[in-house]
Amino acid sequence: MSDELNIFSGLLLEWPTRQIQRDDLLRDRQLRFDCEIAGSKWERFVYTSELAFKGEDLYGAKPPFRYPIVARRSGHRILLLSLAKRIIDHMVEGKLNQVFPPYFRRVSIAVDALVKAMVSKPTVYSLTFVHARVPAFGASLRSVSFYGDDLTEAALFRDNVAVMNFFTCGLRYAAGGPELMRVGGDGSISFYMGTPKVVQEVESALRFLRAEGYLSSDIFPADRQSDPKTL
Amino acid sequence: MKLGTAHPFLVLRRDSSEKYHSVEIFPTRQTALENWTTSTRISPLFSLITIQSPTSFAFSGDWRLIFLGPIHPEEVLPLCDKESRMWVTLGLFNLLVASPLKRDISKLVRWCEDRELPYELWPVRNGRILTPKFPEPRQTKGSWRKILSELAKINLPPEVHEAVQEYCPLMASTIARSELLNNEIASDLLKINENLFQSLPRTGTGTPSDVRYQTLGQILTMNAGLSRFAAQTFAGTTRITETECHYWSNSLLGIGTAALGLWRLCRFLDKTLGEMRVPERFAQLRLVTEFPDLTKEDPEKKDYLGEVKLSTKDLKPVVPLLAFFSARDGYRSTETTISAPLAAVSSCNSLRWSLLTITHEITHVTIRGVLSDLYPDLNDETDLQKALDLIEAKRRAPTLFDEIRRILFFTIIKMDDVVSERSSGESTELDLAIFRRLLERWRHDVDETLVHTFDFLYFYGIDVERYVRGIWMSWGTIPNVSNRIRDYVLRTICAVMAKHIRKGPHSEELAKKAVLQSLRGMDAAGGGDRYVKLAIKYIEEDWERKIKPAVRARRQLIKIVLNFLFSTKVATAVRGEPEISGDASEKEGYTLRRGYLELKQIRNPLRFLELYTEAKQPSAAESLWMYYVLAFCISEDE
Repeated sequence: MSDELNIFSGLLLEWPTRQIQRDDLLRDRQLRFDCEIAGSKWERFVYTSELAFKGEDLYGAKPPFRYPIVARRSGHRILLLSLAKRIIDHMVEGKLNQVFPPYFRRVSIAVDALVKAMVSKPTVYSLTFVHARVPAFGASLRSVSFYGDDLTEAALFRDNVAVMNFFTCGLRYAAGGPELMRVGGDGSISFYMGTPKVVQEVESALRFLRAEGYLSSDIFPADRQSDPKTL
Repeated sequence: MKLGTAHPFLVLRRDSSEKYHSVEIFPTRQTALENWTTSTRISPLFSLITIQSPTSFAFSGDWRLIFLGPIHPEEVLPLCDKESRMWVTLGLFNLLVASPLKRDISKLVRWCEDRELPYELWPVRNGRILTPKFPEPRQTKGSWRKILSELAKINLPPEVHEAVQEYCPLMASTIARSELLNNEIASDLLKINENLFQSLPRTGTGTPSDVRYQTLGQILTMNAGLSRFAAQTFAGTTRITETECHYWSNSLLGIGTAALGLWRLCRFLDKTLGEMRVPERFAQLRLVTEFPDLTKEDPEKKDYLGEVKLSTKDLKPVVPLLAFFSARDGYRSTETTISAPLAAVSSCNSLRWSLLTITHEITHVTIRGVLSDLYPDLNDETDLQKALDLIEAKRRAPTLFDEIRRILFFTIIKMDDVVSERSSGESTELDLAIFRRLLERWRHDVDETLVHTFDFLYFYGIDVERYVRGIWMSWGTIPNVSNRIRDYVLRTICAVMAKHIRKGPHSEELAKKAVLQSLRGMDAAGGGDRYVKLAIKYIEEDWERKIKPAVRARRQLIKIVLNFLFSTKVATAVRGEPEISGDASEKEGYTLRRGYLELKQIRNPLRFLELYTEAKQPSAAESLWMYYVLAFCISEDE
């Protein structure tokens, strides 16, 4: 299996009405439960689509196309990922919005606040990359990206943090190892699932974000103080 | 939660018995007009796709109607049941929910009471309103009552006294109502009131006539603004049947949500540009004695303003400007008020009526502060002589601030030379009288050039196309705009030159080409009315002879803005937006979808307006959507 086939991307979502059940998801007839990921509360589903999201039709493949979906349900929230974020966008904009009335909303992630806090107060995670807009210079200089093993250790990066608005970043353990996941301000999340164990590390990182108050919940502020094991 | 395309009209009138009011929803304004009576009041409703939202409804049988707000509809939607109907409005009671089931509405009443959200409940039988219910109004103990009663007692010249007697009950009424409906607005009104109280001269009939009439003008301006603000914002709140809005197309529910959106926009500008204290920082350049030769093409670039350390204890608090809509004034700023055109209520989605134009007015407030420091007091000969000495000294000034003044005065002489077709070697001999006349004559032009350049750098993000399209579309709403084409062309090219000024002698030509290209683009896309064609023709025909020399003469003004009024620190505060994402398919980082009422938070209303005001045609529904984002989705949390 190539690396690309193991990169899962998607969205962190929430539903105000009640806790999300597996059966709620299965009301979308294009979704079929596959299995639980061993040693975790994560689940695998298969999504069947008439649309080709990975360009399969360019090589003569005929529909239906099948895509693995990885999900982690947690109270009112759910993390939904697949081999491309547009698969999740399509699912959410399609059937799932009807299955989850009155609305199914993205949980925004305060990436700008996260990056600025990591600069001023290092944590067990370090930054592997950031994308940022540079508002002051308008059309002359719109955005910048930085890549590295531990960006906050570089003075060039630290010295210019105040003029940037960060919207995507990558995290790894400060102690070392590969990048764990990338998160975006719009609730988008992606990670490389080399082994099933990765989902637990991703879950830990998400819990860290939640505990530090970087996951927004406009309708359920009280939910932030609830069970520390939820996302 | 998607807005529908229809917007019916809610109509209230006394029924034939004259004892009761009746209510009905008509599909069009025409239908409502055909049934008009002496007591009829009307407001548009906006239908929704997600929930039943009929466009014609007589409320036959027993119904309960609840008006509530100000609140984002998504917060209320989960409380509505299958039998509920919902519409959104432009009023401060921005939601109307109707249900035949008592329990549905009772649930909403309890919810409103739990969170102290204002509401008014109408039991309705066959369209007739029975006894309305609303929460008991809270009586606050605000100190404003004492201040206003003190103000009413101050010994003032007769005309001023009369204006203050009008001001006091008007402000009292406005604060009292705002305390019930929006504490943040109430807090701003208290600051405005306190400021006016402090600024009044206490010299009675001994007040010099110029001060007297200046004061009178300020109070009359405030009275005009307050009466519009109060009528637009608080009409259509409890008791709805008794509070008529004089904006007749919205006479039933007012336009409180639009007013709230405009207020939030202005509040953001107060909190960013206002709090960054550009005039106060600029004044501190008096302390800078080491500075580069400013007459060079490209002096060393430093963030002079950003590096100024202001002592907060010496600063007066930022007093909010009173924001309101005005059909007569359109976009206009004074020392205490700021207005947007009434047409923007239903048309702000279009470039022509963009709310972003308000940045130009706010910039005038800032530049007025800067220029009043740079300019000498024209009635004070000593001050005027000091300014003249700066020019006659023929050497650079001892402080950066005075050097900027010196350059400003030389620029004014050059501007006059160009118009008088004198070469710079044959400038008029200056004496105090001539110097005063020159400064008077060119003040407006200097002000506009600085304002346009400032606006271009800070609020249009140095995006030439967006800037040219934005300002030229908005100028299309000005009567007899054709008479002003020459001035507007000159200001536009000067502002755009800020993008190219480091490119030295080519900068005028580059700015001209960029502006011409944008104007031609507007024309080709069908956005160019006759005045745009006239502007293109004027540039093509008169560039070398008239425009280029005038632009060149203003070069130092552009440099003053670029080098001493533009600050990376200030621009980051004004243009920054932490609530962005990175998906390329989304609107430069925003996930807001036009026409969807979603409770998503954003921080920077200017960025929102910049990205989402692009329609050629006005739309009441799209404009309402924009006001809902401004009113309910702007987060001020750090």
